[in-house]
Amino acid sequence: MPDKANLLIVDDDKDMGGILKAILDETGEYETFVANNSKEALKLVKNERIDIVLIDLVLKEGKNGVEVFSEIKGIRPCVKGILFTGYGTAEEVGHRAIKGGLIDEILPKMIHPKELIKAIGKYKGGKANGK
Amino acid sequence: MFIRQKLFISFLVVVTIPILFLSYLSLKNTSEALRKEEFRKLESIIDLKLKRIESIFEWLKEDIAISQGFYNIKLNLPILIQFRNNRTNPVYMEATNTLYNQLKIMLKNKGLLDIRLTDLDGKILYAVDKSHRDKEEGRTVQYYSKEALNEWKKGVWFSDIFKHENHFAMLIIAPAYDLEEKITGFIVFEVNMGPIYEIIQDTTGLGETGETLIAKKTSDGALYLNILRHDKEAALKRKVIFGSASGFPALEAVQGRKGIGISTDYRGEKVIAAWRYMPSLAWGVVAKIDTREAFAPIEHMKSAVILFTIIAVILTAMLSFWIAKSFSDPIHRLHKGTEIIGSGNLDYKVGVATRDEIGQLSRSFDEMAHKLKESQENIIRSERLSVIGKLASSVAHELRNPLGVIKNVLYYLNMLGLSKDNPEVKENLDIIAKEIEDSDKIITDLLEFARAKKPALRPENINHIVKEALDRLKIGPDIQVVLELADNLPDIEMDALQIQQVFYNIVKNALEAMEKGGKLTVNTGIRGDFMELSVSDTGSGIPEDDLTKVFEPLFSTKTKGTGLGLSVCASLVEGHNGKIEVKSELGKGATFTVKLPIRKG
Repeated sequence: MPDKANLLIVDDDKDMGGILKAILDETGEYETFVANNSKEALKLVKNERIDIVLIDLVLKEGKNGVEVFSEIKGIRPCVKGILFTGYGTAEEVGHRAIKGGLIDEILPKMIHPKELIKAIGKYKGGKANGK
Repeated sequence: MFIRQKLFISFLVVVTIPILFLSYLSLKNTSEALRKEEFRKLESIIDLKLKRIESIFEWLKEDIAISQGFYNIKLNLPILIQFRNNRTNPVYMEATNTLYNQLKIMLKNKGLLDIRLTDLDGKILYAVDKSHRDKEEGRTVQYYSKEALNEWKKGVWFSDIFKHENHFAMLIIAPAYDLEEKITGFIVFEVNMGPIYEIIQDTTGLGETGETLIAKKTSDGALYLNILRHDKEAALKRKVIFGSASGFPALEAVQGRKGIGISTDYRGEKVIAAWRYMPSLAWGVVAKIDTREAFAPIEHMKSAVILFTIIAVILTAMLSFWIAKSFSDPIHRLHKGTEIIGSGNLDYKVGVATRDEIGQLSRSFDEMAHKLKESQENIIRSERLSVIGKLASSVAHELRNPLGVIKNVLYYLNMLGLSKDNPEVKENLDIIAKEIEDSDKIITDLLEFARAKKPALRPENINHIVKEALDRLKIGPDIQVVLELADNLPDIEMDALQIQQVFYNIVKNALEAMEKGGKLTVNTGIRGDFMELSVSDTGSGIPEDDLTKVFEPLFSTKTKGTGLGLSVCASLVEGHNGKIEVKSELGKGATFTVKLPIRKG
């Protein structure tokens, strides 16, 4: 479908990535890619036209989500970034990223999928209109 | 040395030395006095006896002088001389008769043994005692010598004592005159020594061992003249030699000396003695008594004083021991207590109840230990909190991932419409969803706990905070809420969010304790330097054993509690330098009180 947005999920938990992909695929509105680490993520960003990145703040490899996303943004400046965090409220690093205009939104990891779909939906529209 | 020993020895020394000193002084003074008294007694005895003996001899001298003046003797002694070879002559007979009649009366009155008359050569012409007369007539009188004869002519002469048959006697000899006052011969009194010995040997006032004695100088020493108390055969037999240690008083006396002192008698026994010289008879007179007896009272007193001293010292020792103990026991207990506390047992109470400095020290020490314990507990708790905080943070984060996956899977399953036609599946999926929500709440608790930060202090009104929090809490109709909020409470420095969190947690606990309904009372007010916020419920209450633990992290009696809620409260309140306390009666409810310091100025 031409109006499908390309969404990249970056999460070192394969199950999380898998189930999010399943849910988002099921909506029929997204072409979803999953990367389990920054390397995969950067490769995908280079190869695919990624519109939205949903990235976990805490990645096991050492870099955090904000750092990885800033690299992604370097490759695709128009990409929208949503930071996923396990804490109830966003950590300082996340807040700074929002203030700096790097990240567009911070969502708690325990957010209800319905809410998640709604939140991502905001960026899908914008992207689609842009191109 | 320990304090007890030091005190004991000091007290003992301080008290004992004066006791010993006083005992010694009193003993010394009293024995000196007793000794003087004994000397005085001996001297008075000897002087009295001396006087009596001397007066006896004065009387004898007078008696013989009287007899010298007898007309009878003046007249008849020349007749006896004239008719000495013609005794049957009536003139001679007449003369002896006349003499006998007068002299026998004198003999009897004066208690003399005999009165003899001699010629100028000392030859006995007549004796009043007839038994003497027959034996002795014509013989010279005892003690006769040419030199003696010259002595006799000079006046009254006293002989030595001699033993005659069974008694002791002495002679007193004086010249006899005729009518023309010419010496015609001698009058000889034989004196019975019995009465004199009675005086000498009278031991009145001389106890069991004392005596008086007379002695005469001999060429090499002194001869005892009377029967001695300790030697019945001594008279005229027992001697002591010059230079010997024994019999010193007698030796001194016979040499004409007078004295008193402690010395050795003829037996070699230690005695106190007084000695005198009697010039008229050339006798040494001694009065003496064994020191053993004389000083017995001193010895008795010495024993008594020693006994008293020993008892006093023992009593002093006991008293000293008791006093030392009463001083050192609390110190010892304090020492032991500090050691025990020092070894880490902060619950130990030194507990010296005395009102003195030691008691004060003990109480200060107990207080210090108590505070130390409190701060130690605080440190332990905050350490534990910090560890738990880190752990909680990491666990919470790690748990959220899988939980999030499960939540998403559940959603996906619903998305796929799996439960649409199967109510049983739907029911079970709903259970999973609810459990996920509960778990997420626990994780939220953990994270809150982990995030306890320094309070951002700002002046706030506690009543506002309470009202706001109560508005947000959804309290069911079965709970009666009573507000007892003090009016005009000043704003005090606090972190509103944190205090609200504290209040929220406490109220949540209270509500959980009142599942079947009850009364929730919220009270605010000022007590001393603190602003107090207390929350009382009428719930199940807390067992006494658990009261001290409720603020410990991970302590929970609830099946689904993390045991962090009240612990978070405690650390937040402590972050405000405040206190949180709990009181409870099992089955009747509990009251939690938060005290926040009112900072002035």
